[in-house]
Amino acid sequence: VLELVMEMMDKYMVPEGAYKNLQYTEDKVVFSSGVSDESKLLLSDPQTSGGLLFTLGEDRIKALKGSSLFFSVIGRVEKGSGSIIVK
Amino acid sequence: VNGALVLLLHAHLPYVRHPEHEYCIEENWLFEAIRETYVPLLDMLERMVNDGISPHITFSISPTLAEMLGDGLLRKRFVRHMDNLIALSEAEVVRTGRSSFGPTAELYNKHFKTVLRLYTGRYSCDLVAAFRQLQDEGHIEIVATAATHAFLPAFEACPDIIKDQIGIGIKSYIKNFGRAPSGFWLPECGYFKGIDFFLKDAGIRYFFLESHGILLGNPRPEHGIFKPVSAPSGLQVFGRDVKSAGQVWSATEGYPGDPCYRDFYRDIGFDLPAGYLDHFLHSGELRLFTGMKYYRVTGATNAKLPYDRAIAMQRAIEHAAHFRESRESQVRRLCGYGFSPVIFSAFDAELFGHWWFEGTWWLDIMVRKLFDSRTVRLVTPAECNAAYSAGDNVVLHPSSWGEGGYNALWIGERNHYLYRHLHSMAERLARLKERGQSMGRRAPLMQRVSNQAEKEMLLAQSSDWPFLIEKDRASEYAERRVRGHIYNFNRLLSMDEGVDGDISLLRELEDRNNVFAWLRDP
Repeated sequence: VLELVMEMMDKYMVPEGAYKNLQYTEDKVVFSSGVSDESKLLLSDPQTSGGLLFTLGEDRIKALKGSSLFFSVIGRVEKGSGSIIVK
Repeated sequence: VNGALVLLLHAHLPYVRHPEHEYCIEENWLFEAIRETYVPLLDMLERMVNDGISPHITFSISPTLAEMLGDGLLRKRFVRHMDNLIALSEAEVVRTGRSSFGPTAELYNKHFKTVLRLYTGRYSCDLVAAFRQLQDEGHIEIVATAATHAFLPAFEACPDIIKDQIGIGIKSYIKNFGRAPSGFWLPECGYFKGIDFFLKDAGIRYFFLESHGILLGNPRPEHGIFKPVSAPSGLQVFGRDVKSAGQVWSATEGYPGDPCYRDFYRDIGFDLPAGYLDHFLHSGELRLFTGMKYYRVTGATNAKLPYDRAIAMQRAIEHAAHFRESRESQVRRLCGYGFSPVIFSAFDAELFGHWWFEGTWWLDIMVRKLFDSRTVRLVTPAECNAAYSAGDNVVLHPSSWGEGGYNALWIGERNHYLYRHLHSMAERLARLKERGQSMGRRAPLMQRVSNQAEKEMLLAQSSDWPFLIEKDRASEYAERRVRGHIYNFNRLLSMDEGVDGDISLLRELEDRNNVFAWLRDP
């Protein structure tokens, strides 16, 4: 978490979009009881630095690696319940 | 001590007084609030003071409520109301006997008797005087509010209405509390840009806003709502804390919804035969809340469990401890950012005792617990005002504490039509007054007509009527009230214009809608 973000959260300086995102994902995300309201909002933060998240078939990643684009593989899509569980 | 908590309880009811009816169910709003909130709160405050604890809670007591608390007819009717309830609760003690409801019936019987004894004995039926005394002794602060609790953003286009609502509110405060107020509660926290200049002109030093009124201000203040800020007029502004509000106020996550607490809606007034109740309540076939409720919230089910005072009391103790710990941890976190925070919490006073039966117990325990805290101290806004003379200069954001945070509840689909009438009344009254002034000293009768027309207009402006209409709660009564006041106003103005010379109408209205008898005293 970036410096000062928690301070802003403690002072309720949270963009409205965070509340909207949290509401939108209500039936898709299950938070465990230990997750604080602040963390929920933080994970729903609409502010980005311009990054883009997308999925690609594994065979395409190789082709991308040869390009000049900056990217990171952060996970793998698997068959599941359709719910995201946040612990 | 590292941080401060300002706790404000806003006590308000619309002016409801119907001498033309022997029994009037809407007058019960006042009686329920006296019995469940105001007397228990006063008793709680006095017991704290006797124990050496100066509570430093802040109240606003609306002028319409203060008028009703001072009215002779309503005082007599409250005593009759309590006599009837005590008789009902006696019958209930016998009827419930050794069943699981027996102890709760006894609890109510004892509670009703205590309230009546305090009301007629210690307070001599004068609750305003009891609040005044607590303020005079330095134990509480009372702030002023608008004359008939008009939702002021709805009258932004009518400066005369704003000035009168604020000015008469302050005049009422001085009459009731014997001093000029420093703070002002904007009804429903309704703020529009520029209203603080009206408050400043009236001698006010600080007022209160819902959190986003400050958080969406420009520029964003460094400490958010945790330090009073300076409005464009230079007045100090307190912003309502989000977390503490949610813990007490939220219908879903707040303390009052706890399964152990008393269920508000399950009342013997709806459960027992109408014939049996009518003997005590004189309500005929009409069903109404008696205040005798035997079940606990239990959960989202109709199969409610019987109420158990001991279990509920235990929860109130736990919730009071939780509130104190939450505020302490909030203050510690905020102190970590290099400043000493002020947390401002505000609630409708009637939440405590009336809606949330255990609320007065909770408040009692919570204030006593905070008294021992080394981290958070309860303070009044006057103390804060003295301690923090200057805050960040912020252009405040229009806001209210109602649903959605803006004006939608008071200027909505069902009630917006009221305002064209309310605005036009103000214009017509202003013209009438101008004409009166240009004619020099008015005939006494015409002065009376003008005074009564002003009262009808003020009574029509209460925020309660559009609220009840929009929420469709007692909306028939609310609509009848506004229409009635508009009708009376029009009749009075036609008297003034010489169209209608029926003095009996004036007499009748002076007697019935007798609010603010001192309105045009020099």
